Amino acid sequence: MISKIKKYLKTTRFKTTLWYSLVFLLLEVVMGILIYTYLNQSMNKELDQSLIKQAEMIFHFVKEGEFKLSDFEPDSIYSSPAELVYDLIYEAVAFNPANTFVQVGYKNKTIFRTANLSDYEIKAKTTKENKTVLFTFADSLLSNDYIKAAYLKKDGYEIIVAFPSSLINQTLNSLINLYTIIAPIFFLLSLAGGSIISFRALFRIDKIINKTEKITTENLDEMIDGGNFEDEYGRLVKTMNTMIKRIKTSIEYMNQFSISVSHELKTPLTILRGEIELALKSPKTPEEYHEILESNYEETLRLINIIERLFYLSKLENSQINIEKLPTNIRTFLQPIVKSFLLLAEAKKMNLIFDFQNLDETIIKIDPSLFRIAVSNLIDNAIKFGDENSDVIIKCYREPENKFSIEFINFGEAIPEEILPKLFDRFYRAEYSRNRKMGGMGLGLSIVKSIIDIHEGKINVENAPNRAIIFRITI
Amino acid sequence: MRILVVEDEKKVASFIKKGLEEDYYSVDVALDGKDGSRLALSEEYDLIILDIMLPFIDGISILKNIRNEKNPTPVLMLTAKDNVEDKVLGLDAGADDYLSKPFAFDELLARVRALLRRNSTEKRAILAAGDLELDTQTHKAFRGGTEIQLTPREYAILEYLLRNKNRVISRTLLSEHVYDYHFDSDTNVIDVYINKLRNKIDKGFYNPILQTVRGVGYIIKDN
Repeated sequence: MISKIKKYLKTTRFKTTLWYSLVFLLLEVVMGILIYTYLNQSMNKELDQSLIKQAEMIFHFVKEGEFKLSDFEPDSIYSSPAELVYDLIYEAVAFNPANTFVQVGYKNKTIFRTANLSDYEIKAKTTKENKTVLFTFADSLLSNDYIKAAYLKKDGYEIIVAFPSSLINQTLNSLINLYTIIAPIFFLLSLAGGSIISFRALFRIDKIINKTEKITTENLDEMIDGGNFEDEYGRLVKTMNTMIKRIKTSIEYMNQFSISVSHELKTPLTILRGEIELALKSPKTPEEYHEILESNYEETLRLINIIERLFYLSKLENSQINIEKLPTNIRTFLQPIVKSFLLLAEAKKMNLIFDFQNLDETIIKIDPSLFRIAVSNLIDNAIKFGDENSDVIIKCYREPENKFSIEFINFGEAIPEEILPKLFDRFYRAEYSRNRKMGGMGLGLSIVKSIIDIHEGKINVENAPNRAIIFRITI
Repeated sequence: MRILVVEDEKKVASFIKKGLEEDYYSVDVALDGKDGSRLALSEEYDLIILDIMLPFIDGISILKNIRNEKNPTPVLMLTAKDNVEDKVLGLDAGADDYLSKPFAFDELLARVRALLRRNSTEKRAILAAGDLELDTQTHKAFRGGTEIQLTPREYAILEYLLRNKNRVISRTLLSEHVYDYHFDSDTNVIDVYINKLRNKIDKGFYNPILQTVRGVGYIIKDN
């Protein structure tokens, strides 16, 4: 259970959702602060303006009733100037008497206070004439919050209108309260929503993972679904499918390679094992032992040769051999190679003919050491599989588009047509070479093909009339 | 017992021939499919050891040809491949057994012995008639518990007659199964060997095991 949770906490789904929700929360907080600041400012501004307005209104009305005030005599209606002022301003200005403090002074004497002030004297610090001034003060007798006030001194009157800021604070507080409740709820909602969205988005990833987990070397034919979508997932699936195909090809190649290697090694090993077992079975004469050892030595050399060729071939195919193409005069390059085979041809009473067709100055760009191996292999094969008393012809000629061909022609039993295209295929070699008594030929031909491939050339083989077999290199 | 080895790798054919000859078999070798097919169809063999991959005619085709001719000679296939399909292909074409290269020579010999006694009711490696016993594995012969020393040729004749117990075997048939292809089989030579063999196994015993059927050949009876 705990490990499951731990695992979940590591998933992209969780991380994405968490980040997304945290960003959401941060935005929420920033917005809250902005709203709070704006509200705070605008409410204070509005209060200030209304205080100024009220102070001016009160002055206006009191001023109008100045004649009554200046020589005030108590009568049946107003027993004190305060009552008169109260009447003057109450009629004119609608304010909340419970919260608004009003104090009116006349000629340095306070003549009116609202009831909520009782005997309290609001003291304005400034004494600027004819101008309404705003100030703030705090007194726990009047209010727990600080009090905002407007003060107007004009024509001997001192008007003070004050209002506690508690209302603003209350509004702002309830805003904060609202936020503290709403923010976590929104956070949770965004977590849930984000989780659902990311689940849907990452569901296909899960599918890809599950499918990929099931693919082993045994079922590389299977593909991951969803490659037909054009989005990132589609691309991912396509990429992975191509990768699976590549793996499949190289595994098949490796399997084929090991089959062909083991097949190639089996014949010498069969001989070695059989001869040695036979030698151990019963006593032999020294001559017989000598013969067996000689044969064993031969087979050991054959094994070494096979392994070297295989190693060389795999090196070639992995292009680990650095190719160094040099401009080479084809005649001076080919002639010594052909000459080196004269003795071998003589042993089979063959004529080795080098037909150069006046191409003395032909230069081709090749890697001489690699190309020598290819040419030697082809001449060697031509002699090995040609009839006795026949010709082996090495013929060079120009092709269109600045290309050049070398043909290796011998005369002998035709190679079956169905085998021709597979002749350079390393994996096909085993059966064919054995069937045709061409041991060792196949591997040589696949080396030749690899070399020609590296030179970006072409090699092909065909049966021609009069029992001629032609191997042709074109570069 | 005469065995045909069809194998294109000269050295493999050569050591199989040598090893079999050391075990008193007479062996013919064919190095390609054409020769192998010709010999298998024209000569009398007690067993054919057949490689699958051969020049000209492959082993499977040779096998099918033999079986189409209703030739029941046991066939042991040799194969360099080790996959099931090839074994199934060979066995279904009419092979009696197969052996993958590289094989142990003792296993080859044991499989040869097993195939040679396939049609016999005696499933041990010992051939017997009356109180005469021939161990095909150790090549030792016993009459009434006493060991008899035999030359390879005598052993080969005795083995063939014992394997064909209670059947009259002509001199020609005997020479065909005891000598390989290169031997100029003169049936008079067979008589010489039969006499030598008779001296060794029947001399001093009341019941002769090896009997002559006048004008026809020889027989070993189980009595």
